[in-house]
Amino acid sequence: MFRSRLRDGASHSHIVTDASRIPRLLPLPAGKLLRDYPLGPIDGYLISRVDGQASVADLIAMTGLTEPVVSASLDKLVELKLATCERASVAPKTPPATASSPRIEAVKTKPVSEQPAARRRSSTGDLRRDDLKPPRALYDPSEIDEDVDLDRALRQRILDVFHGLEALDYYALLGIPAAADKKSIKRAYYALATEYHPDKFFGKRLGSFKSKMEAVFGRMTLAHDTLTRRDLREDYDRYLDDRSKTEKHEASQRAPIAATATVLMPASPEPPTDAASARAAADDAAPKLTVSDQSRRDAFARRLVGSRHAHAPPAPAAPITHSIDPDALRRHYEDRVSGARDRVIAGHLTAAEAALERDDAAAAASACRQALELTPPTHDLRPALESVLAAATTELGESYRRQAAFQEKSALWKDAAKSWANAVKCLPDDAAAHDRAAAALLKANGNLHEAAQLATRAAKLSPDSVTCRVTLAQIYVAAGLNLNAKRELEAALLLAPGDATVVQLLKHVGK
Amino acid sequence: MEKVIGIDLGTTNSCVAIVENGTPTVISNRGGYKTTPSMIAVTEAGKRLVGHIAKRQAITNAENTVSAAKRLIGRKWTSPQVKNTVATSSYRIVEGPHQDVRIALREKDYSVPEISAMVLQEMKVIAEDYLGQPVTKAVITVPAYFNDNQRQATKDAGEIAGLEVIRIINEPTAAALSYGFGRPVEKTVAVYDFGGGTFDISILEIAPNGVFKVIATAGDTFLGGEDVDARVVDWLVQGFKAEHDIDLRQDRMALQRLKDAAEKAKCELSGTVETEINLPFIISSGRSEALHLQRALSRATLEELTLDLVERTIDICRQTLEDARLAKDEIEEVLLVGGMTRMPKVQESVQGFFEREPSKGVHPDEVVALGAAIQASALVDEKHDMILLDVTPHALGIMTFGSYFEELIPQNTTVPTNRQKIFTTSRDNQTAVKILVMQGEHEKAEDTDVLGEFILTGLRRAAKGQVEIEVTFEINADGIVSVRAKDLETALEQSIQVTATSGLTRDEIKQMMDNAKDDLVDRRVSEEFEGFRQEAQKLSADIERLLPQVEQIVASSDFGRDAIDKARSMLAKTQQAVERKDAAALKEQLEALARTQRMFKGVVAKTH
Repeated sequence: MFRSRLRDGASHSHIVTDASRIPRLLPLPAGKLLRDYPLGPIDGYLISRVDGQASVADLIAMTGLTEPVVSASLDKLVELKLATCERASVAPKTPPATASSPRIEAVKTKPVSEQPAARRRSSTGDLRRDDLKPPRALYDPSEIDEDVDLDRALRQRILDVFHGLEALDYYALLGIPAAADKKSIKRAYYALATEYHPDKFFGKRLGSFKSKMEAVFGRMTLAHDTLTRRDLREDYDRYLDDRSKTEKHEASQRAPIAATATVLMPASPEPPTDAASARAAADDAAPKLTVSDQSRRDAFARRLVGSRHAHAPPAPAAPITHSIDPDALRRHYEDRVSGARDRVIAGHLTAAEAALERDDAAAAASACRQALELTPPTHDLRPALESVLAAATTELGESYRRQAAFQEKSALWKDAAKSWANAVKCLPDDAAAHDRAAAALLKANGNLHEAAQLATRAAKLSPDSVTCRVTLAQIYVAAGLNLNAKRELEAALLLAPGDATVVQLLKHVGK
Repeated sequence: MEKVIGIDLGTTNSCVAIVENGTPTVISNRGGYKTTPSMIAVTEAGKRLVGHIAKRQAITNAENTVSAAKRLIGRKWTSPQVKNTVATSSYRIVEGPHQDVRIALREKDYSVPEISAMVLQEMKVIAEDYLGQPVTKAVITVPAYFNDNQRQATKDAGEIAGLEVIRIINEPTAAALSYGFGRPVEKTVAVYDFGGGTFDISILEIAPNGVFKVIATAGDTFLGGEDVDARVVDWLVQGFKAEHDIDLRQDRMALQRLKDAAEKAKCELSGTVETEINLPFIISSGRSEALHLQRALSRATLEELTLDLVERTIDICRQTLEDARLAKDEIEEVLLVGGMTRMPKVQESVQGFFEREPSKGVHPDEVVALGAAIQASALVDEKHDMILLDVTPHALGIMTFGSYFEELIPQNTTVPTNRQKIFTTSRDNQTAVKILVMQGEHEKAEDTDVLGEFILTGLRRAAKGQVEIEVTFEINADGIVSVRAKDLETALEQSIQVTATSGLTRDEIKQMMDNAKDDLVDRRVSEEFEGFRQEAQKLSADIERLLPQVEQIVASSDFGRDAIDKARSMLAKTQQAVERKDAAALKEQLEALARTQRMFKGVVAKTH
């Protein structure tokens, strides 16, 4: 959950995690044009907002993009030598090469409570153990006072890792970047082995720390064993990826569409907090974008909507005349409002499309939902938005499905049940997902009523599936509703005469 | 700091080593040999013999000489391996009180750990003699593929011998430790360990910071030089039967001679291509006519006789490499350990399989003990930065409904580790569940070994499948397995520490320990007496030799006659003390004897 989307470079040593840093554009080398670089719309948009004053945090607020997206994009810009990213306190002239060590200091000095777990990232190239500390409040501080033959700093370290085990992904646990190769994973693991293996303190009084060290070391071994095997690592990476996506999705659902109000006031001088409103506001209040940028964007929006819609670019605002015609003024105002709104919607659509393209379904869905809030029922862009939303939702559903499958494989039934529940929300017509969701809930000892509903829906969606009937029957058995179970099993037997599982279950129910 | 020794308790030979001033050294026994035969015997006089002496008298005392006890350790009476050994051994194997195995020597039955303890005690004494101080702690090696019962039995043997076994480690791992000791290598190595009784293959990663991680291990605890010898014995027995129609197996003494000859021939064939086995008067026929056995054995024939055994080791290597998910070319070094790796065919097969010439850098007989000493020193000496990460050679799990084995900790899992799984009840209104802890790789629980059991009671009454029990397995760094069962609804929890059964109870171990201690005291006392006796007899002989001359010289003086009488009575007393085996009285006489001897010598020297 703490990983950036960028996996492809150990070279990302100046990755931007410190939100107080200020990105700055670098002049292009002679003869090079911006369009020669492998950039996307998000990057272009960010470039347009980097002014040498705004910090990373400002950019996040200004653009309404999520922190990982902004960081990832800035990382890319830094890597391409299009920008530098320095700490606010550092003189602007300081070369970026020194950036990595001050970053660590910044992290250290930050109060732990200000680092919400979900925002910390393990994908940074030079992660230190300090980054891994879970919030101290997680355990009884008296644990550290146990009378054992270990120095206090080590006790602290063991407790921090031990109590943070559930929150740390394997990369963070081993203190390695997401792009680490097999060799560096092994190095990291072997280095940690000499630190956490209880044999290091053989014959010493270790008290409860012994089993804690064993638990920590056992998990490190699991992390090593998973990450050094290609197939397992791929599974795990996908799982992390899906988890971070779905977590983002859940976060965006918890805090939906905060920026709506600002959007409707296009001329507001306050710094906008949402990507599209920033764009809208910028058009009106802070004329930093050139006309050609604007028209390019409008053209892009048109292209997205498709040629079948003759979506006219918003009429250029009528020049403000000095005649005081209230109707004209109102029309002028409404035009500007609807024009701005359309631009906002188109902006959301652009962002959603881009997000979908880079496999960020959560951002895509979020953007679509924001846009749909604003879009009147008959709006031209509505069908496009809805289709993108549908695609994003399906993609999210698949993320949940993969995540759940991984959790099932790891016997994390409760987590799997949760993931499946989310998956079926995204995939309301997927019989298999409903079936698995029901089965997982059953295994996780969860709410049988919910399980039965899921299984019933699965059976309805796929009336010819024996599996769905069997799951439903098992839930009925678990709930003590043997008659219902029998009914389902008999139906299943009609579908698959002689099926061994069904026959066996029927025998059991019959008793 | 107390010295901790490393012992390689082998099937045919044992070896003891220690790390001194940072250097691992093998300690030679009194005979100057670096390895000691793992053989014990009880003589007609009830005297216990260990090592080379036991081996030397094996033929004349075959029924009371035990070799290869390691093949029986930690096994059940009913196991096929025990059945096999009963059929071929020259000593008597009987069933013990706990389905365990006992060995009958003279009038007494000994447990297998007790026999092994005699060998361990010998190794302990060798180390004590060398160090000049008592040794109470040891790291002992076992074949990697030993199960927990066999490991526990080995630990018990250590305890009986008066040694606190601070860690049991695997033989191939020990070999790798010795190989990697003091050289900062970063390598993946395969250790091919083909010893007297067992075969192991381990694949390890050696990290430059002193971490040794076992990736996979496998083996066969009943495949070794003994089996090769047995093939040669079979061949000899069959040949003899064809010629004389006599089954040499019926005669335990003949069998022991055959075994010796087979082993000798095998060893010789590592250096030559043909050898002659010559056993005159091997048996007398019904017509009381002595028969002789004489046959030539070629290297080719030996290889033919044992081809399948060598192939089996290669098959296990192939499987292990697969389990480790490594290609042959990822193995950067192959170490050969154990006496059987001296056989040219074995070297050839290993080289052929790994497509790499095996390392010549380790001594196949000593490397395991050295590794054990290195691990001992790494554990007790803080200066060492070495960490050994070994794996569970067998899967661990529990028996589930229908006698199925449900695995919780798979084979080749790095320890320490913990795993859990949820199980449900199998009967309606079941209020108790018996958790049987098993070890093995088979699906059917009956083919696996039971490590222990416990009962979780007080479950809530519900339909079957309703009550969920979370079972957690934990193996700590010392290799101790604990199992916890928890009723998920009531949070009712029960746990046990699984102590594998060696076949002995605590009381028995205690009793055997006392016996072994007494025996050691007896032995020390008899050794002391032997020393005094030798000295006293030497002095007595001198005095007796000088006596007539001195008598002549001093005949004139009363004083002289008195001294002569005194000397005579001294000699008589010494003789009595020797006959009574009275070490204390003998010691008393020694000084007087020495004085008299000096005086006599002086008198004689002056007159000449």
